[in-house]
Amino acid sequence: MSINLRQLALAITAVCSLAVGPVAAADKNIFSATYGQGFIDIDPSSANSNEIALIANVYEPLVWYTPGEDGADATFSPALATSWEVSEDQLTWTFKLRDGVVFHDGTAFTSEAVKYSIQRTQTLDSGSAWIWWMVTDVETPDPLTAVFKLSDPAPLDLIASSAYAAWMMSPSIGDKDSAWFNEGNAIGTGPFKLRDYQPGVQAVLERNPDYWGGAPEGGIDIAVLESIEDSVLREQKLLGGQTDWAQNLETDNLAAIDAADGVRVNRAAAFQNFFGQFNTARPPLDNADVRRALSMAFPYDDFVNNIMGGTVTQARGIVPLGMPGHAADAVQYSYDTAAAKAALDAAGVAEGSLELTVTYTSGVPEAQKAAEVYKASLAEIGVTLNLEPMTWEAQWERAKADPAAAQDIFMMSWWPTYVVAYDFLSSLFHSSDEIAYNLAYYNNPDFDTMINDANGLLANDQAAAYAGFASAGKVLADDAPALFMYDTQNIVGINDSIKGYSFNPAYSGVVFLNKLSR
Amino acid sequence: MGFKVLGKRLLMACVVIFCVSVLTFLATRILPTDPAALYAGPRASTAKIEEARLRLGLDKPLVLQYAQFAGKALTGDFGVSYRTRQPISKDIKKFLPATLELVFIAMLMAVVVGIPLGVLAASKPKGCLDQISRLGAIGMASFPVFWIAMIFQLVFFSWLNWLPLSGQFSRETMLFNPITVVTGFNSIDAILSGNWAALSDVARHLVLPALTLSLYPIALAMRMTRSAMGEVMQEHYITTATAMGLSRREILFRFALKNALPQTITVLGLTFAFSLTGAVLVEVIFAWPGIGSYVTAAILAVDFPVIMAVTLVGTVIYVLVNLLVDLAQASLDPRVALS
Repeated sequence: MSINLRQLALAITAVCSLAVGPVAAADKNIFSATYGQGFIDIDPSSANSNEIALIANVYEPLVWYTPGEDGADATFSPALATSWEVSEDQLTWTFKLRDGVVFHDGTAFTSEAVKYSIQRTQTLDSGSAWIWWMVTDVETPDPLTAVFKLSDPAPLDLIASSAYAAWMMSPSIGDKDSAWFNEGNAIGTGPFKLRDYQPGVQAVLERNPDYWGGAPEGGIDIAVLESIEDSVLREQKLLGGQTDWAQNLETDNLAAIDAADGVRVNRAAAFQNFFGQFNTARPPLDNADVRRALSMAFPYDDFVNNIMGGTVTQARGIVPLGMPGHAADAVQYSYDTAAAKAALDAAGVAEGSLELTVTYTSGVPEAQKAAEVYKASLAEIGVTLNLEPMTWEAQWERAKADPAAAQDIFMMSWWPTYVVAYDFLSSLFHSSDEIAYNLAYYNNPDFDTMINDANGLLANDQAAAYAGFASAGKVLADDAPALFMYDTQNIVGINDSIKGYSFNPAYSGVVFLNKLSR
Repeated sequence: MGFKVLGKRLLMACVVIFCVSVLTFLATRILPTDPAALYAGPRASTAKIEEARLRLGLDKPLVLQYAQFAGKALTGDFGVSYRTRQPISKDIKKFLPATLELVFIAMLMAVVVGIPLGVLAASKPKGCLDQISRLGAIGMASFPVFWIAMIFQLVFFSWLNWLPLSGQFSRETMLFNPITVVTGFNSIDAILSGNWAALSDVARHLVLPALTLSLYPIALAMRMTRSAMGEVMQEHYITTATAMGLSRREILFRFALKNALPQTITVLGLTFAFSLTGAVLVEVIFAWPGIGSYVTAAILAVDFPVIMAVTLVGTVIYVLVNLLVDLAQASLDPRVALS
């Protein structure tokens, strides 16, 4: 019996020692990134969420958005287009294309591919395809020239740099639908090819040896982009060296992660914010004085530093800091209960008479925290706040139905499809007959004119357009149609051995793999 | 159990499955959320939502919608998930084996470890082993599974570095030595394709989640066997057997256990079916792509078709397992067959 046991033990040890070194990694430079949410739709025409983490490495747009360093203005840098110009009437944009670029299947990249990509996206009309609404035709005078015909003037260089719906794909894809892509197919021109794809679980990318832009010294050969639901597990994998990059880490643990050996925390301003739109269609919130009073009743500093652990910054107006068109001289409300109380008195709101309802999406921790904090601080000035968490669909349905019966405060987060202040200003506060996202029901014709005028300048005079957005943003902040709470930061943990990582706020969640080395 | 009884049971099973399908279908239609808006996704225009309503057939009468749903479900077509945009049957085929692999091992552990320990504990009531096993069982059954899972990770990965942290296999296996999918069960597929390196990798990844998930069934099997054995051991025939000089081992395992087993098997059958969707905590903590995580994500996203499909599949498995349990009872106890 004892001999048998010993033999058994030996056998087990033998099997286990086999297990220690499964198969040699064949000297490949492998990079792993861990996301909090799985990829769902990797069709470059319709993908509208964090799938761009994959798409931006497999496909390329005509133009990249490059944020300005140290306060400098952002620039648009050549991707598959090398130069571009706009006609006098702003209705014709001519893009010169990069020569010698081939898709992963060997198809040459030409103006036909541009025409195909735009038309496929327009026909599918899903996700963010609306960004091309003004494009009536793409002409192809020669293989390296694509001419966009517009029905209305628009900043097409900006639109072409969109994180969604602006990717160039091979005409050889033909009339295949989204399901074909989501079976794990991709034909782009990017520095990486899609090798394996399991929806919602992971994607494996491998270097495209024929990439026109080459590869950095010590570049990545294979990248695994996986999704891990549990934030503690993401952190453990990062600390244990099993992943090189992880996002959505627990706020409370960031200091410990930064202090740990071999990993660092990277923080950068993101073009995303969190706010609560006041119902301006109904008394007493139709009175700007009341809204300003309520804007002074949110403990910004305490929330930003203690509750969010310094992972966000207090907002100034609706356009986030760092985005062209941000109103740097707009009013920023500060927490002052005495002043808030006095302002409410002056506006004729008797103490204890005001009862408000806030709706927010359940399961979003920061919304929950913000609503609870606001409830407590409003109680101090005699205002009752009822919290109504619900699913996004229910929250939105109710808000769209009837402003007179809707919530008083609608909390949500916003980020632009392509980097333009107009996206925030117009989507959220432009008056309209059909309610979509202007859930403040804000109606200010002067403001509408200001932002439309500024938007009209974008194609020819960006500086003037940004100045116009900034002054409109200033008017908006003063009028307080929303409680501007905070701008988000992009916070990720990254292994120290990885060089070349930087965050581009226009492409949230994307790790540009071809810039990395180890 | 005669064929007549079996037929009756099968009929009952069909009625149960039908009722569950109607209930789940109705529940998803009464809830105050619009499936068309969910399908169209956030920031969709009203036109897009109406288009989705037509595409999903949500504009048709409720009875017709149910008939369509049931008709397709019978052929294994549960439609497309709003969240993953994949055919649900494909998703279930992918995620169910991962969970079954864990649950099978947990059940095996319950039978191999739990039952013998229960028998041994019952052999000397109030003895040392009885007391220790009682304490152990209470511990295993009452510590929250997520806590135990994290402690296992802390000890076996962070401190000792003996076992992997999470997932079904290592990155190296996935990239350079992938397992050919035959059954969807990684360990079986690795054996079938003779991929021994991958098999040992898979086994190492299975240890912690399977162990975590097995603690409760082990405790349950142990205690059920112990208490059933306690009663059986008081019976006269045991005294007779002892008087006739049969060995202790033979009395315990051959005569007493046979009469004590039915209770344990009933409870284990229920636990098996429950674990299928109840394994979600273990799956999340070990990033195990199983059916529990799948349905939880679906519930959070109000992904109705997935919730209905998994509920139905769960019901079918539940009913089948209970049928199997009854058959096992009948083979163990001739009296059951008579009823």
